Amino acid sequence: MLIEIENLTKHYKMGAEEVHALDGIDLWIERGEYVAIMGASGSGKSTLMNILGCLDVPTSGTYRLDGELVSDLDDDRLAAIRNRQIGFVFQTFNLLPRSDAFHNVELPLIYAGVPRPERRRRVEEALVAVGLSDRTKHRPNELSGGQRQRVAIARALVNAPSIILADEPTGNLDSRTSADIMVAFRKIHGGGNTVLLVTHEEDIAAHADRRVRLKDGRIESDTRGSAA
Amino acid sequence: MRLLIEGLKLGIAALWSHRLRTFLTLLGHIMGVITVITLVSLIQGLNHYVSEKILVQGANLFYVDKIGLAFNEEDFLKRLRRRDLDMGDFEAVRTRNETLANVGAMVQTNATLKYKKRKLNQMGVVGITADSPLFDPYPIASGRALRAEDTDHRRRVAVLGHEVATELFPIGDPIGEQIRVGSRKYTVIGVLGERGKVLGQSTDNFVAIPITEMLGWFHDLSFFTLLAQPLPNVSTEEAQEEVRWILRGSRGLRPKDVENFEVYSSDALMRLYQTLTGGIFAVLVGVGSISLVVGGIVIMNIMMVSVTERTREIGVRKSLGARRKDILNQFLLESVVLTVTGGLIGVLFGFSVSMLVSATTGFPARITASATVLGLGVSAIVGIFFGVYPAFRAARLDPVTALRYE
Repeated sequence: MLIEIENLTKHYKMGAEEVHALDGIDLWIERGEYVAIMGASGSGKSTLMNILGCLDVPTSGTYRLDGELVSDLDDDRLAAIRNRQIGFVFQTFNLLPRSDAFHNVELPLIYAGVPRPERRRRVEEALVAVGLSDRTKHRPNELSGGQRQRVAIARALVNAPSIILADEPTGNLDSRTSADIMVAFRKIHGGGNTVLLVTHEEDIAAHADRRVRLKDGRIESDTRGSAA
Repeated sequence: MRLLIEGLKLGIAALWSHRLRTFLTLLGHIMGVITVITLVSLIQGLNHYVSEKILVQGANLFYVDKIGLAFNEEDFLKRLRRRDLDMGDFEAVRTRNETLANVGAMVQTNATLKYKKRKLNQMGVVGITADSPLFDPYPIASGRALRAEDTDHRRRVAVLGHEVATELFPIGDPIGEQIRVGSRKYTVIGVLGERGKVLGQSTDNFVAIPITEMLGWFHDLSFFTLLAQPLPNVSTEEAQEEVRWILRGSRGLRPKDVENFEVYSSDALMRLYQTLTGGIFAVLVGVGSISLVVGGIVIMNIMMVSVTERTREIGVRKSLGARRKDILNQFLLESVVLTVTGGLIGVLFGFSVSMLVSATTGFPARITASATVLGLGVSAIVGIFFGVYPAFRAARLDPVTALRYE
């Protein structure tokens, strides 16, 4: 089992009020699954994604990633897990604006301490995989939205993580480019990767093999089978 | 190491992308470094000059007089009441010593010098024994030096300092001519070589006459000074000790009496100079450093802005696996790159300014490697000191909040 979540809660203090963003979540995800996490805004899906991505820690409950209990690790340990195990794809791409495509993809490898020649090889591989081998020296502002998102996908893939965690990856793209990106995810999944897709759009979620719906911080439904 | 190089590249790139802002931010720091480097160059120049030109008057020379190095007025006035040293003391040291290569005696006053219609007011008149070590730095340019027979026979002869010679005798040879010192006539027997100006003050504007002759009309022995130079194989301390014992004898001091004269060396003069000026210099550099602090605060401010501006970048880096340490180092390096760049510019300009000051005022500036190291080192320290808090703030950012930052 890649992800084991038991009775996970996350509470925030908003002024005097306590918000129960997650209110007892149990979730198991196996290696190689393609899962969409769905829900309206305020359903807790962003909070869940942050915890799954080791950007945040739960208030209570346990989260095991690849057998390792990550729910109570400190900042730097979490950083190491993010580096090795998780590849993020964000709605707003989150590329470094002053760096070219190559350097953006290279970043996780730098933090992993990979030597330069190997970095070069792996970055080039990743850029080829997303069809951008001819754009390595371009900066984000010289690339289209779809190309930017593919750079981000290459960056997510480059360190061979256990999970690709995509947060509304098509939210800022037109429908045609969105379709291209979804094809790219399908391919990534086909290559044996575990893909978690956080979205509120039904047609995007339809690409996944399993859909987990959240409402008010709880799992409302968990359905399998391709809906597309 | 890999991250360090990466951080350096990042720092330079980040600063380069905001060239104008970087430069404006750095101005304060650059000014601070210029101030400190200029001050340090001028001070080091002065110290070097002083130790080289004024105080080292022949190796291990030492002096004896009744005032010595008085550090305050009270001491000075107390010592002024002591019994004068005189030719008797000089003769005692000269005849009884076994450790000295050379010993001389000297008194000084000011007087008007005249040659025909030319007149020089307030010139130094030095009464001196023959072969005095005082003249070691002044080679004879023409004529001859004072000899034993001049002092023995109280001859009215004079050796002119270079400036006196050129002022009184713009044309023609002074040797053999008669000049007046005050109202007395002297025959010029020699002219000394030029030594030049020390801090704008001529060291060539005096006339030397036999001390024996001078004591015939000049009776204030308060500043009667002995000059002594130890034999090559004798230490200064040993020679000073011997001179003390001889003088105690010649001045009739009993074993329990305190000495009523002072023995001091060029070294001691140098130390006095350092004590007197060290504090002033420290204060000068300290005041100059205030601008470094101001520059540092500006840098801290701009680093805070930089961290805020790049909150999202920090979030992205953290999501990709950057640890706190990585973010801290990144911003710290950026701030150090910033200040060291400023330091480099400041050192170059500082040296230019001190050279300019030196060229226009004649003040002796001195450019040293230590000043360069100081400028760059202080810059790095400013970068770390004022960069650490912004970098720490960046490192501590929560990744979720940072990623959501607009």
